[in-house]
Amino acid sequence: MSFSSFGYLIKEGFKNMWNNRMMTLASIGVLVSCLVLTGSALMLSINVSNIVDSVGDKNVTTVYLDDDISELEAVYIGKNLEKLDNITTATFYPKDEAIIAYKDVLGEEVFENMTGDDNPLPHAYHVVMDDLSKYDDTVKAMLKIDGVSSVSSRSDVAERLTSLNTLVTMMSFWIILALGIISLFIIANTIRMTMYAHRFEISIMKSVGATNSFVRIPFVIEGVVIGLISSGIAIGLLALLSNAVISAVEHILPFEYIPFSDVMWPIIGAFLVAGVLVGALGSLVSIRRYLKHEGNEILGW
Amino acid sequence: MIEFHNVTKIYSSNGTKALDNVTLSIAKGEFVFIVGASGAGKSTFLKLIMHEESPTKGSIIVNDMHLEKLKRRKVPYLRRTMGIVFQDFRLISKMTVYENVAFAMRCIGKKNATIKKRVPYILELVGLKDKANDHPSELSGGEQQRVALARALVNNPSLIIADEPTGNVDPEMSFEIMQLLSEINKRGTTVLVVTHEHNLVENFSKRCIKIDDGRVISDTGVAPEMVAI
Ligand SMILES: Nc1ncnc2c1ncn2[C@@H]1O[C@H](COP(=O)(O)OP(=O)(O)OP(=O)(O)O)[C@@H](O)[C@H]1O
Ligand SMILES: [Mg+2]
Repeated sequence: MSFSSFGYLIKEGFKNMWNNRMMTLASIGVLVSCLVLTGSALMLSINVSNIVDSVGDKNVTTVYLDDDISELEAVYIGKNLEKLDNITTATFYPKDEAIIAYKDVLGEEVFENMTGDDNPLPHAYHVVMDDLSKYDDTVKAMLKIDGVSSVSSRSDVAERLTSLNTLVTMMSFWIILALGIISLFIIANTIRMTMYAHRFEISIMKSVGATNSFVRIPFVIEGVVIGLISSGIAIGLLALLSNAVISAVEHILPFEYIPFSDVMWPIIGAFLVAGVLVGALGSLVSIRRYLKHEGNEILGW
Repeated sequence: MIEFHNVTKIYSSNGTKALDNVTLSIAKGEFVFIVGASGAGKSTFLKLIMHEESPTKGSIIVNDMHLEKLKRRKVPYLRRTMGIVFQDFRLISKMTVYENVAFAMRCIGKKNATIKKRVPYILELVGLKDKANDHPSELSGGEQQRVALARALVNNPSLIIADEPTGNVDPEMSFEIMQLLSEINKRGTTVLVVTHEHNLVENFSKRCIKIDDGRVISDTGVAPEMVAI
């Protein structure tokens, strides 16, 4: 195809958008809403899992060893703990150190009787888990190790946050999927309307020997431009929205939040790609259908 | 140029037999009238030539292309070898005369520079040079049909197909359009004209194929002047 006809087709694509501006605006509106919702779900998911991670770091699980385990045997058990998939670190917590925590409670005299060989506490490990949602499985695995007697239960906050994280991730996934399909549908419908508005021209194009791929181009351009405009607007809105929400929530729930600017580039990239893809795909789907059926004949001959 | 061998066309939607075992051939450079009553199958004949419809039986060769073997995506290239004129002109109302003609060139990917040279030349040929910037609604029926003819000619086809080109044009203009088609034919383009107007057919003394109820019931054969060549 020559350069001039490509220029012509691009011009046609923009003209179509303008002539069909109500539909164009409506589909940009729906697309922007879809993208902003998707982006919000993403920001929420990123922040919740970040909070879970930071709580998880502080959330040290204590693993108690059997009473008769010597310090040497404990080293060996520590190695086995660290071998487990989900364990980031296992720090030895000897009973001599543990008893010191009780010094004030016990009083000097009792404490003296409980040091050395008379220490009633077991040796222990402080372990940090990589993924708290696998907490139960990891505990089971740890209990299987010879010499491990019990494991402290984790904190409630971590537990709730973990299940919240799972929920948010799941929900985001379905929201993104559903909104993606809605966007495709909207673009396909808009392009279909434009195509019906141009059925006469398309019919003439086909009677003078235009190929289907040539007929398609202005409509694909229209779809892609709608997608790009929508992702541009959505990026701006998402930035404003997430900054506003974070500054509002910060005072009530004092966590470290990830601001939009920290994850801006991947999100901008993803939105632009999504805009182009949805636009191109949506229009291609409806053009293909149109050219196969109604548009395959010379109109009213 | 065009060969039909035992071509039958039955429209599957309602079972109408529009053409019934038609065999004929039209040579390069001929001028042929197709006549017959309404519903005889004239338009169907043209649709088969441009592969708008496929035959139920038989084989068709157009410009050395065997249509039964022609792939769907090759149909546009078949159509680029022919120009089509309809009874209702089919001009795009929001485009000027110039743009309407240029449109046919744009559709097949011609360069702007080529378009700028070719369109004025063709408009001059059909006598509409000074109407280039008018819109179709500002023209008479005869003038509109000449624009349509210019559009059909602009890509330099070897065949012109016209389905009742004078159906919406007053008698004087009809004569002019037929003369224009005859002129184009003299320059080497094969011309196929479906018409109802007997006086035109008589006036121009060309080959005339009469179709009735899907069958060729008479064919004057190649016109005397063609035989002379
Ligand atoms: N797409 C179609 N589907 C079903 N039947 C059709 C179709 N097109 C034409 N026919 C039928 O086929 C027959 C021939 O139609 P065709 O259009 O070829 O006639 P025609 O000679 O061009 O008539 P006219 O002079 O009125 O234009 C008619 O009976 C018509 O009703
Ligand atoms: Mg007809």
